[in-house]
Amino acid sequence: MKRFLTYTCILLSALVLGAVVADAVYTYSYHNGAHRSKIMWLRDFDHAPELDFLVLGSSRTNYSIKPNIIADRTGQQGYNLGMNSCSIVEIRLLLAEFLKRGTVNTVFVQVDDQYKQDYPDPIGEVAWMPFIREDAIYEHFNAFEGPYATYKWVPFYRYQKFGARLGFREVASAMLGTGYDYANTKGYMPRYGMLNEEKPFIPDVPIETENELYEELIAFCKTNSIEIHFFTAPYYKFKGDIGKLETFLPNYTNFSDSIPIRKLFSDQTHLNDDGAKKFTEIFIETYFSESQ
Amino acid sequence: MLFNSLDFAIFLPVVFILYWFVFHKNIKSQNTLLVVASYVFYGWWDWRFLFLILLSTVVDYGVGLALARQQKKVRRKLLLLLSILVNIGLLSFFKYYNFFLDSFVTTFSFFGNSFEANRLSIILPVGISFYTFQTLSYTIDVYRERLKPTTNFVAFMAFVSFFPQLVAGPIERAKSLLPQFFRKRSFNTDNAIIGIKQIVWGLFKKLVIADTCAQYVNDIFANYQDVSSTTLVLGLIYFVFQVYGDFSGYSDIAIGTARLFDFKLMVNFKYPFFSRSYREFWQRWHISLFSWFRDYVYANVRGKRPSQLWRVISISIVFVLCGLWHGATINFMIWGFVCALLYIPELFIKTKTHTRVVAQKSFFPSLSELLAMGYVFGTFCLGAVFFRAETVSQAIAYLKRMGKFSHEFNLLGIYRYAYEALPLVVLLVLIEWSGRKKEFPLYSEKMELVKTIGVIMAIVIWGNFDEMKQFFYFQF
Repeated sequence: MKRFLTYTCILLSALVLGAVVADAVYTYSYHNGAHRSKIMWLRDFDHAPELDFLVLGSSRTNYSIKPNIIADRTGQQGYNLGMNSCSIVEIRLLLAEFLKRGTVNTVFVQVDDQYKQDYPDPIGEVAWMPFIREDAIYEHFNAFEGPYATYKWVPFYRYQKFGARLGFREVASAMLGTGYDYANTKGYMPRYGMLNEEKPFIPDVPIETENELYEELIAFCKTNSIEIHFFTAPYYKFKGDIGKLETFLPNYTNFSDSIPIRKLFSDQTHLNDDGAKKFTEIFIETYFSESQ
Repeated sequence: MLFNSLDFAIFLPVVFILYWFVFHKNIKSQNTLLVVASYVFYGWWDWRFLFLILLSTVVDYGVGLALARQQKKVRRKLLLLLSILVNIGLLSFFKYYNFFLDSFVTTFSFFGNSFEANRLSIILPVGISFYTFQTLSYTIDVYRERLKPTTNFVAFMAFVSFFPQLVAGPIERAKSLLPQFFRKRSFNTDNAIIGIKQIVWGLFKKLVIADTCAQYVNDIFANYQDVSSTTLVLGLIYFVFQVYGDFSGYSDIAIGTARLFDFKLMVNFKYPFFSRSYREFWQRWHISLFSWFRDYVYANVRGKRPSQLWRVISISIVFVLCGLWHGATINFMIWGFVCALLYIPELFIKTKTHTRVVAQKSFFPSLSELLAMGYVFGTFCLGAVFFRAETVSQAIAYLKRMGKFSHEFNLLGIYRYAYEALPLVVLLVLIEWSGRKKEFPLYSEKMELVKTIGVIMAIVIWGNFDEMKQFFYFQF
């Protein structure tokens, strides 16, 4: 029995030690590897950017606005920091982290049928997890319900839990230097393909109540002297009720029906690269034309 | 309780400590502990279904004793029938009621009559197909006078509900497992270490191979109309490895766990993908189920001196029943029939009876062995489409699209991870190939600790922990 218990203890120790070493290697690669997410890019700015604008939001931002076109047409410099499944919780953190490294005059925040979400997004939060041991990031998430203490303290748990998004594949890519060229596109990510279906997009639940987290974001921007605008990016044949956003949010513009052309969408909720060019033109006309 | 859950990681050491340190003095108390532990293990999922296990246990225990007292053939047959009716009745109600009802309605509709059937929303009790077959083997063996009935109810309860193999097998024979509850168990360090290694190996197959493949299989089958033939082929390969990793992984964990309590369970998978014929394949894949069907169904259906035609018919019947055992859908029956079609030619063509493992004396197989293994694996993958698809029409559409031979690698962009499981599958095949002469690849003495730690690290790094995934065979 003694030999068996010793053997089991050796295996358990190997398991713990392995988890600690793997955690250190993975965390190192997220701090020093090629940029696999915009958070890695943002944390790695080699100079403090002084920007005219920032665009924040989910994948509907990520694939919709091309800052390079805005710069060419208007001379205004900015980044698209839209990230897949980014909710208001992650948007607020992203802006705070950006302000530690640079300045910005105006932020544009994309809102849509997901407006009501008042908790961290299960996908949107994942990209932050390699950095959860930093106090500001941990405290931001830990204000919400979730196993954030476990992610912070149990070695390798977060990389196992989010294996498909933070696991071996991502770490290997980061280590091998195959990151995304965010600096060149200023954060814009193209999406290709064309929508085949004609059916309309119908969101699950209409927006009826106000989300306090947006009020906090507005207050945060005010404190930092940042002008804030809200907008809804285009959908293909949107059949939802987002009318209340106009009353809930200041400086709100609804672009949901602004592009009724199927071939400019890759799916019902995302523009393709041609669609992004078209929408950026509309965006410039609305926010950057001389009359504005 | 799932083997890959935190609950089980706590449950197992607790039972282990109680078994060897508190209840070690006599067999009776150890058996009682095993019964309690097994009922807790099963009841963790849904305690209400414990009554089904209890009913099955009481009926078969009673029938066994009655058979021992009864000499008259007719009465003995009636007793056997009672056991079969109760066990198969429970199984039929919970698993097949809606299927038979739908088939009945379809048949009547075909003849122009239409009526509405009252389908029931029945929860399938986990493991019912496994423990009903196990208890049936007891009654049939007692009936055939190959086994003496037990008078020890606690030992019989422990035999029926033994937690390592209760919910997904191996389906043990009473003849081999029941006597183990009557002998004195003593802790054997070497055996227990082998058990731990087998558990680790099972977890590797489940968490690294099966659960990784499952993600891509689900994606590919959900979007089969939009993907290339190459991806569809990959989808089938992944699916076969998903099922293999999942089920053989479960069996390994079950056998390893039983070893910790000084029990020996039967080997359920013996490197099936290294089979050179279907005859060999079915002696290596889900051995406990197929040998059950061979001994208790095929032997009876075939008769003593069957004609070639009757052999073909009996094999088809048995394979279709095997398919139906897996699930109450036409798909599974077709899968069973496809397996029969693949097996039947070997009745007419003289093939070698392979008693030894492939490439026994060399590391590499010969070309003919390689081709034979490729044929068995490839055709098995093709048949597996009926196992995975939700409907027959989906399976046919999948195969048709696969036959278009399109190789659009642009899919890599859409399914970001679609090809990522491949290196892991290749790794499994290589490890299994190099360990094919052993019961399982970690069953060795050379650098065994290093190998086991290596597998543990592979689980840590590549294991799928996104969400706790139930074992695939639980649904059966």
